[in-house]
Amino acid sequence: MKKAFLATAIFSTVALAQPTEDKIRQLEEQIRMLQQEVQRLKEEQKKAEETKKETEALKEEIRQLRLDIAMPTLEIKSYSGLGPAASKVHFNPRGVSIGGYGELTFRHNDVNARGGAKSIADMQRLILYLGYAFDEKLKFNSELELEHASTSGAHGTGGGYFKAELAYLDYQFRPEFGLRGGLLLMPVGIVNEVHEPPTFPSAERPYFERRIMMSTWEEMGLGAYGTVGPVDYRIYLINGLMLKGGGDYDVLEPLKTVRQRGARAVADRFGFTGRFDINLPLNVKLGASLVYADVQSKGGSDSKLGLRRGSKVESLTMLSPHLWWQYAGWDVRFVGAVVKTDDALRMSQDLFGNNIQNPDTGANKNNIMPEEQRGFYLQVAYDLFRLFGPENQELYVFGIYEDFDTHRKVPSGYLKPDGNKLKVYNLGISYKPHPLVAIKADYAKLDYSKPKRDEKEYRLTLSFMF
Amino acid sequence: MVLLALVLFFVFAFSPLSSLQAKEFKKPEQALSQIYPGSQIEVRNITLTKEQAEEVQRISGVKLETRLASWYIVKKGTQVVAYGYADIHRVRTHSEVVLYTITPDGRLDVVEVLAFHEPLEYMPETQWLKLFAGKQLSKDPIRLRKDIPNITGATLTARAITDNARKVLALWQVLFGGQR
Repeated sequence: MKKAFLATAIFSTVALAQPTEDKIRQLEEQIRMLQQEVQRLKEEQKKAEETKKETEALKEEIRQLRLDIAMPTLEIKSYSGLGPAASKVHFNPRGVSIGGYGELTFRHNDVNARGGAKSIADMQRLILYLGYAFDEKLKFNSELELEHASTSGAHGTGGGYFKAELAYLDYQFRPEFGLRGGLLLMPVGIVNEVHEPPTFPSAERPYFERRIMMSTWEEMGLGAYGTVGPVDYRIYLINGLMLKGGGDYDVLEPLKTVRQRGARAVADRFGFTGRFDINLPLNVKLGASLVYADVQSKGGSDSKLGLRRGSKVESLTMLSPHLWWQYAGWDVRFVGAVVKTDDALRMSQDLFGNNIQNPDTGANKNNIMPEEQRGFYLQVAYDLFRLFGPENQELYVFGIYEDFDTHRKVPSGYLKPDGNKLKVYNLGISYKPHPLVAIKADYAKLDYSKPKRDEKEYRLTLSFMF
Repeated sequence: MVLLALVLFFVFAFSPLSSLQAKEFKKPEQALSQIYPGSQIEVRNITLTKEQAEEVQRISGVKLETRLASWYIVKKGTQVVAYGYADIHRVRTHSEVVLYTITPDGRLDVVEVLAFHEPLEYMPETQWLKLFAGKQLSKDPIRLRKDIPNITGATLTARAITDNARKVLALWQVLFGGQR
């Protein structure tokens, strides 16, 4: 009986144990599948999070890109009196900046355009600006210039030169105060500093800016600049000027021969120059510039007085008020100047020696330096495309009147050279298919004081900057 | 005396930049930090659903050029003090960037032009921009020549800033209006 009961119990246990094990196996299988599912979900969630992060990063990139495009950190605009292309490096936070401009001119003069020819086609200037921003405050800027296409006298009627017109280091501590040193543009007039040709309407720079303000005029110097309230200022200590001799004298622009332009400039004597501009409402700039510098002798065979190179001959003072109004299509400019030399006779003697003007016979009448120069020019230009025409282009019509005297005063007892007084009537157009490109055509009538013959000029200029 | 001059020179030369540098472009975060001193700025780039975009256009009557809206949440501690939106839009042929700030109760607070590429004579005066302060969608039309006067000679600028003020308020209402 006992045996029978035991056998039944064992059988029952075995019989029952079989489905329980199956259940356990099934449960284990389900758990394994669930684990796999959880693992898969975890991986998907991780991927979704990564995708979300990537999407957020892309959205942030788009936000920044939109702002960078709408608010570029690099801009073409004027910095501390420099032209737009020359200012590039100052708006570049870091690295290399390259800019430039070109001025290609056809000029017909009814008396003499060059050496008897009445028409001249000239690649006047091809310029490269090269700058480097070491950081946002410390910059190097330069302007390298090729004039008249070549440096060879064998090309055409003679090439020009390749030279540096600007080369300086600049540190801006703050907008109110910066320091710069090197080869600097003299901050006089309007065109000497802002001289990229698309920035002014006439086919060539105004005569007054070239003959009285000595544009382009640069000297070695060191100084400060900045903007305080509405006032922009620049003040530089510069090397003294020098009478160059060697035939570098033109009676139509007599004082230009004192420029040294950074070419191993004699600096036994010094000078200074400064400028301020008050920024008034409606974009009016009103200001003045000043140059005061000793003029040194070049010495050697170029000093007819036998002076040592670097010794003082005399001093020069230039005072020039200006007004510049650019607003609603108008570009109105006025520049005046008085230039005085304190001993024009000594300067004439050192430069010309025995060839100085003989006031009794009238011989060498042109060979006399001025004691005083005086004059002004007034430009009125208006963009006609403000009234009609394409929205993104400009068409300036302009008139310039110039009136100046290169020898308002000469040393006592001496004669004024022929044509010392000049009145210029200049009319023309400047078409700008792009803000950086100007095609200019104009007519200039040059009325000299008698007996110098009047001249008529017709000019066409292709110009650009970038 | 020389020492004093030197000290003054260096204090002057190295002290923080003054407001004169405002001539440079200010990024929205910079402008907001100046408007709300001592605040923290949090950027939130939100993609609107198609429905949300349509709702913004319906409320404002201004076409929405993008469904990606970058908002600047201005906080002091944990409290939101303002919402900022830098709207980029075309005036005539060139674009401008205008920063609109909105108070937590949905009123325009400050409108500031951050970048302007049209000729500067078309740039609005600060006094005109101040006319937007306090305007809200539910009470004000925010329309040129209604509650916002025109700027003589700069109508396109005035219209662009006014219309986009409505757009920015509508964006705010759709995205943040329910969270007040």
